[in-house]
Amino acid sequence: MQLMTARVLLVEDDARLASMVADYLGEAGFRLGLAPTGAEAMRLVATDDFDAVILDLMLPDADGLDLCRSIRAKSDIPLLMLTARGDPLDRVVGLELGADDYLPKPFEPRELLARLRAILRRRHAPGSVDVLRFGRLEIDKGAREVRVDGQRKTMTGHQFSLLLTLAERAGRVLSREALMDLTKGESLEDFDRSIDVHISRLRAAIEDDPKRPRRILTLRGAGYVFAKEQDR
Amino acid sequence: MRRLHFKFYLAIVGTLVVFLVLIAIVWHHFAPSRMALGGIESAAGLAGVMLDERKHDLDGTREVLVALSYQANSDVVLYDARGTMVLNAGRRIPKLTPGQIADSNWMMTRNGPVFNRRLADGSHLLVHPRHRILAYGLHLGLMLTTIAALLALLTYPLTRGITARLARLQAGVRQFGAGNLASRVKVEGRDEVAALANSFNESAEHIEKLVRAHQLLLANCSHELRTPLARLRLGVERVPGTDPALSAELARNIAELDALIGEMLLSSRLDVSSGVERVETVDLLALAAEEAAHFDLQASGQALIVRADAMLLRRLVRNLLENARVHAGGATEIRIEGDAQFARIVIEDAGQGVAYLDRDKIFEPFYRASTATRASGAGLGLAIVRKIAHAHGGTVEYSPRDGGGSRFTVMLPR
Repeated sequence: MQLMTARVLLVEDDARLASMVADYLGEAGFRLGLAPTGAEAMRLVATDDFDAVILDLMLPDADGLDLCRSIRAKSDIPLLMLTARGDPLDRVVGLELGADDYLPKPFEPRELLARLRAILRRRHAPGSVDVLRFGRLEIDKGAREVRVDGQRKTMTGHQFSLLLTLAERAGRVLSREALMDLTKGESLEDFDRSIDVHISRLRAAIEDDPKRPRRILTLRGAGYVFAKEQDR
Repeated sequence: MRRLHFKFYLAIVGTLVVFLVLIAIVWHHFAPSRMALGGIESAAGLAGVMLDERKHDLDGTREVLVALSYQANSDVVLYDARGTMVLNAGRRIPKLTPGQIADSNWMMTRNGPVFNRRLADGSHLLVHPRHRILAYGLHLGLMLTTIAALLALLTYPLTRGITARLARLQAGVRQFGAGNLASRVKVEGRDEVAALANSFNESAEHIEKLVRAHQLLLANCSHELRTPLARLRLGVERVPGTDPALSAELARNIAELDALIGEMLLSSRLDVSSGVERVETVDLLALAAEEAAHFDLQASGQALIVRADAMLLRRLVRNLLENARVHAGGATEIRIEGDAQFARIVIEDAGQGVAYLDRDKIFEPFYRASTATRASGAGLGLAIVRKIAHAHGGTVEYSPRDGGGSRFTVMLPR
């Protein structure tokens, strides 16, 4: 199926914002359906054949979280939640209830487009359960592939193992020794070069600016940290 | 804490003790025994006069002694001037020394009080009351003390009962204070305690309404303010033929407004809530490193784990780094230290530092230090830092950095 002609249901009670988003996404090639209320949204999800839902958290007749749960109970349609920024609880709950992604208002229009495309792509990609996501970075464990903004990044098998080891322990300080221990079993390659060299290769592959890393951070004397919150 | 019921009880027991002491004093001065002693004195005096008159009549003397013994219910003995016993009625009284009988009055002997009346011819009439006068006094005292002790015992549950309602009231108020806004206290009885409980319930009702309104406002504010911002942001993108530099500037302004709204809402939310809602295990050094990376700074120090709200801690670190960036050209160091009790986040800069008079005030909302030159943000950054630290049971302190500049130290309990 062509992503460009995907049909998207926008559940948003603010008519003016809804029409602007519709125009914007329309220009990007999407076909939009609008639902101003939760009841209307449930009706359209059940009857029409949409490829994705953009769901506002605040609706006049329903709580977006409840609606998210109801939609998820009936369908595995890709779901992007829109809500006001700074409600971390809603974000966590929303993602637990089955939303595929989350975007706070006011959003960058291009970011909305990128995230919408991302959730559509994920839905069509096989084995998408085995993917770790950190903002724009995706680490596909099944395919042993790394993507930034959907663009595949090349790296050696060992570097992938090292990245995966780091990413699976995101938000924790890992010493060089711990990293060596953790990657030893997985790698068949010579481990003659120091970890630091591999890290700088990884940075070259996945950082926007390898000199100012945001994903793999160095802690002098302590080791490395894979950032938990990237691309904020 | 001294318990109230204990104080009440002490007051009651104290009153009983004072009462007993007063009884003892009154007894001492006006007791019937004393009156009885007075009677004995009078009777002995009268008998003395009679004996003085019929000096040589032994039968007459005996009659007087027997009458006195009967009337005064006492043992009566007559000694002559040399101390030899002449006559007695009732039991004999052990011989007294000449020194003892020299004075005419009451004297205390091993057998109790004895009244000594000196007659005109130098002989002595000794009267020993058969009542155990002193024993009666002791007996009465013992009885009163027992009654007082019984009363003390019985009033203890009573005072407990009175103050138990106050204790329950206190427990209810404490529950409310701990954040359970729906909790009310039970109104028992119709006295002042009940009135207090009623007033508390009314106040609690009022406070709950206010807080709920505040929370609703916060929840809606975020959405209501950000929907038009989202429209603005989309609109900026869609105005045809706009200078890209102008678009970028507009987008920046929208982002700034969004950040301000976020700051004010977060600050309000921290005011309303007590403590932190979402606690998780946080690697403090990793978190500091992540935030520092956004300011092109490397974190250092110990890898410490704390239980905290990670989102709020990120905010705390970010605000301190942002504060250093705006006021001191950027932080020079961020390090994590700690001991068994506390984890410390230390952030230093090499700016001008904060004037001595401003140091207490920089954590207050909307306060601008006298040396602050640039206006940026809503002035809530450091206030939010302090609120987040407090919400975690910690503190934040300012101190001058060695060699100039500022040092902010956040202490979090481990």
